[in-house]
Formats: sequence, C-alpha cells, structure tokens
Amino acid sequence: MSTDGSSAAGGSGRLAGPLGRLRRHPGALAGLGLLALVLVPAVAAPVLALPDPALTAPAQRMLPPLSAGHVLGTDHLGRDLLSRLVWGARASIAVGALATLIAALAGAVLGLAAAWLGRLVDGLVMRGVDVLMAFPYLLLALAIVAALGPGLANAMLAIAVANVPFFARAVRGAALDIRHQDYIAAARLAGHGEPAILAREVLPNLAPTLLLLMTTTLGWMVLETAGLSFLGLGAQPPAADLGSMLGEGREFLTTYPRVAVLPGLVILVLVVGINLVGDGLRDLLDPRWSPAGSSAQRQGAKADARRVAVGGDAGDAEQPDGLPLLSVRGLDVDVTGPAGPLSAVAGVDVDLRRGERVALVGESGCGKTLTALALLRLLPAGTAQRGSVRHDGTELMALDDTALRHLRGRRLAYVPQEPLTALDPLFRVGFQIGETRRAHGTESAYATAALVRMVGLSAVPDLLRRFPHELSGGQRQRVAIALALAHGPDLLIADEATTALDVTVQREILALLRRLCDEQGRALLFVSHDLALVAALCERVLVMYAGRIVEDAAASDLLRQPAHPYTAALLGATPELGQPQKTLSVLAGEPPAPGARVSGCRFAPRCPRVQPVCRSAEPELVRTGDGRRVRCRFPLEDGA
Amino acid sequence: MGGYVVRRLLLLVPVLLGVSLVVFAVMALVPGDPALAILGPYATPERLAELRAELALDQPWWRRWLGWLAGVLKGDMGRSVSLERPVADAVLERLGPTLLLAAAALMLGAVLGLAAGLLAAFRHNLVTDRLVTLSVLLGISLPPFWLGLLLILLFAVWLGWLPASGMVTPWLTEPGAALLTADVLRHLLLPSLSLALVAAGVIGRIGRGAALEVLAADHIRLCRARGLTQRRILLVHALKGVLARVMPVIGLQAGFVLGGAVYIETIFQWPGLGRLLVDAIAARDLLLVQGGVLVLAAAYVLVNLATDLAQHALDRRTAAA
Amino acid sequence: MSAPVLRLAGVAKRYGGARCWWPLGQRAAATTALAAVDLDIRPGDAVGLVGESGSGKTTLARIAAGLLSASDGSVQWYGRDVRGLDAADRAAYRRGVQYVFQNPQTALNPRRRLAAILDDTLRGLTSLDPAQRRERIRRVAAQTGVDTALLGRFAHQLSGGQAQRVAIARALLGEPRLVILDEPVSALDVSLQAQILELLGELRARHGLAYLFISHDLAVVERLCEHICVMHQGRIVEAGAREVVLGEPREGYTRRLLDAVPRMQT
Ligand SMILES: Nc1ncnc2c1ncn2[C@@H]1O[C@H](COP(=O)(O)OP(=O)(O)O)[C@@H](O)[C@H]1O
Ligand code: SF4
Ligand SMILES: [Mg+2]
Repeated sequence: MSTDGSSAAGGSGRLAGPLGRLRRHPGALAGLGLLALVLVPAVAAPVLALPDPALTAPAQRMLPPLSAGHVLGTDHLGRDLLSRLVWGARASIAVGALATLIAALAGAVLGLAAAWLGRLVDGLVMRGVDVLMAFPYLLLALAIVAALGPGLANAMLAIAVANVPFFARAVRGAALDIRHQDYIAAARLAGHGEPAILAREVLPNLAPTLLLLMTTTLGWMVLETAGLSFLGLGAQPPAADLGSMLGEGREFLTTYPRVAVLPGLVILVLVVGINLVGDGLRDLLDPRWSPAGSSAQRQGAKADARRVAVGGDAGDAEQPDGLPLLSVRGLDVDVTGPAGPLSAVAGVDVDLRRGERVALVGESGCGKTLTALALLRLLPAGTAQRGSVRHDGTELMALDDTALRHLRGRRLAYVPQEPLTALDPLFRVGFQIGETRRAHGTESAYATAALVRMVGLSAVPDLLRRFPHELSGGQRQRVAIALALAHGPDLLIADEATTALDVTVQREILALLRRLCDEQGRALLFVSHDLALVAALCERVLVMYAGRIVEDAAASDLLRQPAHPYTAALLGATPELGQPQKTLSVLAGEPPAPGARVSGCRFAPRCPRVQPVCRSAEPELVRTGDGRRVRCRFPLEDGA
Repeated sequence: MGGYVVRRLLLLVPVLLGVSLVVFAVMALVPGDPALAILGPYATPERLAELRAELALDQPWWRRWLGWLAGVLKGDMGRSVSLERPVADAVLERLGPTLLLAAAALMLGAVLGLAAGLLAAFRHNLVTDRLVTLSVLLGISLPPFWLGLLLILLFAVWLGWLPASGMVTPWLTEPGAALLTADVLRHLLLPSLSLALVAAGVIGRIGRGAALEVLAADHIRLCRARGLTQRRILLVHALKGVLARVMPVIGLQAGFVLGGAVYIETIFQWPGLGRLLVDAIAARDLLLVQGGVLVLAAAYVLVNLATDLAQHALDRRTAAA
Repeated sequence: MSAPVLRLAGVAKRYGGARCWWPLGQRAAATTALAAVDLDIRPGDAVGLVGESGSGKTTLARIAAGLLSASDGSVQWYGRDVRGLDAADRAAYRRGVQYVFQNPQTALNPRRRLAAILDDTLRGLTSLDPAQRRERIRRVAAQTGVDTALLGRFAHQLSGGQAQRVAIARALLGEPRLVILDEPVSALDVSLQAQILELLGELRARHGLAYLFISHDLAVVERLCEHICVMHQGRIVEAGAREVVLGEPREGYTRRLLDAVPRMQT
C-alpha cells in the first residue's frame, strides 16, 4: 500500500531534495549572499569601469575615500584602492580554488590508490602522509616556495602540495569504508572487474565526500595563499592579491590603516561566505538534517513536557486490588517531522501492579521505545509527551527536576538495549556502580559486592577495574542490570534488553531478570518485538500497533486465543521450533509511519477482518468479558 | 599504557628522518647556484669554489643529507652562511620565544574554544548557541595576520595599552625577575591572542559538535535514568567525552600555531624561529632552513604525541595508532 | 547421490597476524575464524548453518561465494577446485553461486537506481541483449514480488522488506544453482520475515535452487532447511538431517542452543 503513495517521489532524484531545502537553510543563504558580494565584482572585474589597478600616480597618493574618481581612495602609490581590491579578490579566489582543486585531485588519487591497491601501496602512501603531516603545514608550504622561488603560481602550488596529505588521508578513509560495503561485494558477485567497480560503485559514493571536503577546506586555502603573499612570497608587484595588498599596507598601519584593513575585511567576508556555504552543503547532503533546526527541537521538548492532561479513562474504572504501582492515562508522544510534530504514541492507558511482569510487544517503529522512555520522562530531544504518569500516586508530570531525579534510579529503573553504548565507555565499571550508589544521598540498598553477586558477576576477575569494552555483551548487560538495581527499585523498565545478545546469553539474562523480580517483588516492564521470548518471561502482555495499545491480556490467554487480529497475525507469523510444518500467516504490508493518515482503525489497511465500518472511526480500547482489553470492533472469539 | 608510550616514542624516529629527508629534497630543488645567491654577483671564482666545497654542493643531495644526518647525531647541524655561526646555536636561541608564543596561543585557544563549544551545547538556549556559532565562524574565517594588525591598531596604536612589538622593553632598567616576567607577558598578549582566536574557532567548532554528539548518546540517557545530577552528568560524563574527542584537534592546532608563528613573529617583531626562517629563506641559507624546520616539526610531533597520550588516557578504547 | 554443487574441503581462515613491513607497526594477534571445515551442498539441498555471533558463519559463507580466499583447504565447484577453473567454468561458478546479505540497504548501492543495479548485474553475468535483460528483470521481479514501479527508486526509498526482495531478485538474475543467504531475515520484523521465508520456499521449489541458509534463529532454519550444520568457534560441531540434529542432538553445544530457544508453549 505504500507503493502507490510515494512512487512519484522516486523519480525526482537526489538533487532536487537538497536544492529545495536550501531555501530553508538561513546559514547557507547568508553565505551565498556574502560570497556573491565578493565573487560577482571579482568575476566581472574586466568589464567593470574600474581604473587600472596597477596605474601609479605619486601625486595622488593616499587620497581619502570618496575622492573624485576613487571611491575608496588611493594607496601609497596613488593606485585606486577599490580597483585593487576587486582585482586582488579575483586573484585570491582563483588561486585558492585552483589550489583546492589540485590538492583534492592529487589527494583523491593517492587516497584511492592506498585504499584499493593493497597493503604495500597503502603502507607507502600512508607513511609518506605521516611524514608530510608531521610538518606544521605552513612550514611545508614555506619550504616549497623557498625551493620554487616567490610568485603567486608557486605559492598556489605550495599550498596545494602541503594539503595533499590531508585529502589523501580523508579520501582513503572514505574509500576504505566504501570498500567494505556489501554493495561492493555484490558487484564482485556480478562478475565485474575492478575498473568497473571503481567507476560505477566507488566514485559516485566518494564524490559527495570529496565535494564536501573541498568546500570545507576552500576557506583555509584562500587564507593560506593570502598568508604567503602577505609574507612577500606570493604575488609579486605590480601584480597583487589580497594578501600582498595587506602586506604592503602594513607599513602604513598607523598612518593610513584603511590600506591594510580593507583587504583583510574582504578576505574575511569571502571566507565567512565560503564556510557558511560549506556548512550548508554539509547539512543539505545529510539526509538526517531537517530545517527545523536542532536547537529549536530541543526547545520543544521542555515546553510541552509541562502540559498535563489529566483525564481518567472511564473504560478502566474497575481498578485491580489496591493502588496500582504505575498508572498511565492518556499518554501521547509527538515526534518532530519535517513539517511539525507527528503523533507517534497516542492514548496509552495502562496500570502496572506491584511485582507484576508485563511485556510491551509490537513490530519495530510502533512506539514501544517512546512509550517506555515516556514512563521515565526520559524522552530524547525533539519529542514531547502529554498525559499523566503516576508512580505510587505521585504524578511524574508535576515533579520538579530534583524530585524526578530521585524517583528515577531509586524507584524506577531502566535497563537499556545495547549496554556497549549505554554504559559510559570512558569510566570503569566500579566507578559507574559507585556513583550510582551515591547518587541519592542516602545509602544504596545494596553494597557493591552484593550487587555484583546478585547479577552473577562475582567470578569475573578485576571486574570493577575494567572498562565496559573489556567485558562481553552478556557481562555488560549484567552490569547495566546491577546499576538499575542499586537502590532496589520497585519497577524495572527494560527496552529490548536481550535483543543484542546470543540466544544462550539471552536465556541467562532472562532467568536473571525473572529471579530478581520474583525474589524481590519487583515489577518489570519488558519491551520486546519477540512474542515467544515474552511468553517465557511475562504474566501479562500489552500489544502495541502504530502507537496504540491494541490488546492487553494475560500472557497465557493471549497465546491460547488472541483477540485482536494484529495479535493473531503476529502469533501466526512467528516460527516455532519443533513445528516446521506450521504455516506462517503472512501479514501483507507494513505498519504506518507516525503521522501517516489512516482513517478509522489504524490496522484496517492490513486487517484480514476489516469491514467498511472499521474505517469510519477508530475503535476504543474496551474491556471484554474475560478481563482483557481490546481495541477492535470485531475481535476474534474463542474458537473463531 | 607504558608499552603504548614506548612504541609512540620509537615511531618518532622514522617520522623525523622522513621530515629531514623531505626538507633536504625540497631545498635541493632550489633553482640556480646557492653559492652565487649567497655571495652575490661580484664574488670571485675562488671564493665561489671555496663556498661550494664548504656546502658540499659538488655532491648529490642525498650524500649531503647523509653527511648532515651524521652531523646531527653528533649534535652538529652545520654552519649558517648568512649568520656566520653554528645553526644549532641560532636555532636554539630562537626556539624558546617561539615555544612560549605557541604554548600561550594553544592554551588560550584550547580554553576559549572548549568554553565556547561547551557553552553552546550545554546551554539549551538559542541565543547563546547562535552567538557562539557566529563567533566560532568568525574565528575560523579570520586571517591571523590581519587579526594581528587589527589588535596592534586597537590596543597599541589607539589605546596605547600594550606594546606593539618585541618581547621585552629594551630600556627596561633593573629587570628584576618579576618585572621581567610581567613585561614579557605584556608583550606576549597580543601575538598569542592573534593566533589563539583562530585556534579557538576550530576547537570551538569541533567542541560544540562533540558536545552535542555526547549529550545525545545512549550512555548520557542511562546516566539520567540512574538519577545522577545534571551537574555530574555534564561535568563528569559529558565533559570527559568531549575532551577525549577534542584532544586530537588540539594537537592539530599545534601545527597551525607553530606555522602561524611565522606571520605573527613577523608582524610583532617577536624574536622567534618563524622570523628566522623567513629571513633564512630570503638568504637561501639552506642549512639554517633545514635546522629550523626540523626543530619546529619535532616540536609539533611531540605536542601531537602528548595529545594522543592524553586522549589514550581519557579513552582506553583508542588503539595504539 | 548426485555430485555436490559446492564442496568445502578442510577450509580454514585466519585473520591478522601477518608481519608488517613497517617496523613497529601494530601486529594484531592472529585469530582463527575457521578451522578445517568440510561441507557438501548437493543440487536442490537447503543447508542451514546455525551458530552464535562470531562462530564463523559469515566467513564460511563468503569463502564459499568466492568473496574471501581461504587460508587453507579448497572450495570445489562441481568437483573442481575454484582456483583452477578455466574461463568458462569460472563464469559458470560466478553465475552459479549468489549471495543475499543481511542488511539489504547496504547491499544496494545508495547512489544508483535499482533498475541500473539489476541491469549491471545481468550484464556482468550474462551476454543478454538489452531487450532480453529487461525481460529477465521483469520476470524475476514478478517472481520475487517486486513492483516494477519501484525499480526507478533508490535503495533508501524502500522499506526493509521491499529492499530485501530486490536483493533476492538481484541474486536470482543469473539463474544460480546455489544461493547463499546470510541472515536474510534477521533485520526484519516477524510479519516481513514470514513474507520473505514464504518467498524463499516458493523460489526454491520453482527453480530447484540449493540454499546455504545462515541464521542464529533455529526455528527459522528448521522451517527452510532439511540439513543443518551447527557451528561453534570456527568448527562445524554437528551436522546432519534436520530431524536428527534438532531431535536427537549428540553434541552438548547443540543441546544448549536448543534449550535456550524461547518457546510459546509452556
Ligand atoms: N526522536 C525522534 N524523532 C523523530 N521520530 C522518532 C523519534 N523517536 C522515534 N521516532 C519515530 O517514532 C516511531 C516509534 O518509535 P519507537 O518508539 O522507537 O518504536 P519501537 O520501539 O516500537 O521500535 C518510529 O516511527 C520512529 O521512527
Ligand atoms: S477494528 Fe476492524 S480493521 Fe481494526 S482490527 Fe478490528 S477488525 Fe480489523
Ligand atoms: Mg525500540
């Protein structure tokens, strides 16, 4: 179903996007403006009615600005300053651009050779690059100019050569990256030779990187060539570029400052323009960039988080025994789309009892992670949450930062998906456990040794002195669990906590989580995409689809007889060990993205039981006879 | 860690050998006769021949390089023809002021740059972020030599607060240690600032990006989930992450600062190696150029080694390169 | 019994450990990714390769496909070592063994349109003329459930399921005898996984393909393959018919693996 909706977008290609977005990038636009300010006169210099920049007139030396015939006045030899600035800018731009081009081409060839021609070539090129990069690059350029003799062309060449190693190294890195991509292997499998692979697979992917490197270094190159000219090693009189004008003007700095200040100002405007355009290009070539602006996104989260919509759900009036441990009402989460907020999670109403193990399942992208983070008020920048989250009667949305901080870690704990990135890679395990234990002023519930024992890491030698990368995946996850347990929380929220692990390790971690919850009466919210896994661990299952809870039932009931067609489809599509003959039910299509317009039931486009009425309005999450809740007009019945 | 340091130190040897080889090869390309260039057109043939023999110009350049290398190992960098004194003496005499200038500029630049970058990223405030981004952009776009001139104009010529040139006031009577230090610092301020503002631009730019990246990382979220204070998250976890990322950039900026010293020493009449080099190039004093460049390159390589070691200490995942 | 399409005889692979000509360069300790692996794949067989991450599955697969060279042992295409093949046989081997990668998005060049990628593949493997190539692409796309309207797009404009279908189509274009599937469904959700598994079953029946199917998920392998090899630390520790390996495992490691699989029936 997504095929018809967006096939038109495919034809418009890749460039139309960036160019279209350019209009919404103020930095790049400003850069283009500044660049035009210098570039247009410089390019048009021959046709402009300017006096000869080299024409000396000793009688007219140091005329002030706005003199007759000399808008900006004259210099110490009576030459027209404006004309010299325009021609000087022309020389500086040409020299900077040429130097960049030469350095980029030579660097690209060297870098590509290093990446592609095997270890010997790689070693030779890279050792050469190491040696050349051991020079402060201006010194290398100086030595080259010293060898070639002063002159603008020589200065340009020197700057270019001094920058070749930089390009070679960057291009090699990018090319090595490409080399290990699967599409290169696929091209080999298609029987193509190296030249064809380089031409068709590598160069098109290298080109944007190279272009970006060139725009981001162009500014430097202009500055550096101007620098050599400033020292008298570049443009030789009577020819002039901006750098040599600055150098000449230096003598009159105290008496006629404008002669030296103006060329510098032109360089500054030019280079600022180049850098702004380069930054813009980088953003526009990055598919993740959005014109909304990263800072603006960060603002949104804070402002919206305060809005609390308290409105209990009538359908859920019959509370289970006593006050629930966690009570969620009307939880919405919005994410930032290209054109404003999109609803990713909507209307989540859930109660969790003490000691209960509950699973949250669904396909990826249906909002499980956002929901889990919202329960801790830990949503990332660019998202906003509304609704009510009560822990033990305390409204989280009304807490200030300090109270919230003490609640997290002490009562609510979080176990991340990928412990390699979730533990701070720069601190030892012992440090991270220690600071967590001390985070809330009071003694932590468990001593370090007890924690280590509890998560089964006592046998790891020197555990506390190790860095996370010195542990295996399973050990890291155990450390993350120890951090979560430090203050004896009454709810653990684990987001895909075993997804990154091998099955045998996964089994151990599941057993650990189960034991920790059983023995210590802790509740668990276990987020997963794997129904089989969840069935082994949890008592109750919440099924999520497109940001909505669609079914809430005891695990055994749900497995025996799913009520929502989506749950049934998920179960039917899961292969089971020992039942190779089971026909997998094939659920066509894919879940809608946040903000996708689906009228009525969000599952209707994929639902095998869909009726016309389903598309008219979204069904409510209603409680059925056997204590489940289902969001469907035509739920499956027992025996259906 | 110990083994890493030793390996990195050993690696210096081939790199410095390569550096000297490159300088020698480049200088050997100088067109024309260096002896003639040094002595001028009115030199007698006997004197020319004598100088050529002294400079060993009758031998291929790589033979000269080997000979020079043998000398360096014995602490002899040859004799400067333009200064008529041993290269080693001249270079060492000028090395101190250059290192002082470069170190001051690099430290100032690192502090300013890091502060700006962290401020922009940590303060979730549009105005601060925009301001810092703008100043960082100006920093990386400023020609340092022009900045130097502007600073002279403002602080030395118009306001008259600081000296415009030199390293010490020549007529300083009774230069007690404290007085002398204060005087040198006053002279140091403008030249080091000219270099530092540009270096700060680059460091601030990278630092801001690094800080944003770190703040969005999974482990910072886990820090918040663990209930750590915001202060601790920023000043312990985020800061260390940013430092580890920015360290190599600080090392690279040492290259800019040491190279940029050439302009700045020229503008501020700072008695350092950079100015010596410019003069040596003008005088075609091959051995002096060779010695000066080698010493500066060695300083640069050492600074880079130091920042690499610092990075390795901050982040133990970094492989020994 | 028919001769194997592909036979691995004593294939071993060691990474790193080579001496570096540059003094003081890092010398990584050698790791043995594969230790003397023997494996036969007969025409039409579906061989499943299971094992945990790092056990050497992908290394073995890449060697079988000729993407990586073995440190030891030989790969034989219909009984002949692939290193000694003449040009014609080499082309037949190239056409005959294809590969489907785990992540379809990285297996398709991001800067080329899908139609161009498929056309290039056919040009490299066959000498068909453009009209014949178009026809073949149309046919294979239909078989793999790829809407031809999608072929004007770039890979990043597809969803994961669509991209994996295109990647499978790419592998089938040259009419291979053996398709190596390296975790082709691991990045997909169960609903998409079911779609792709069904497609793979269908294609195999239709073309008489042999599969070398790699997965860490025993239930998935069990569905698709009659033969199963269990890998552990660079070795095949147990191999045989599906019913035997999964029903009456001899090796302790296989049993541990089986025990760890979560089951819905409790
Ligand atoms: N910070 C964000 N900005 C924009 N979109 C987001 C953000 N976080 C998540 N999303 C989108 O919201 C939807 C739900 O995401 P998530 O909760 O991570 O799903 P799950 O955990 O179920 O896989 C996805 O489509 C995802 O792309
Ligand atoms: S409401 Fe209708 S479309 Fe939605 S899940 Fe139920 S039957 Fe299917
Ligand atoms: Mg998730």
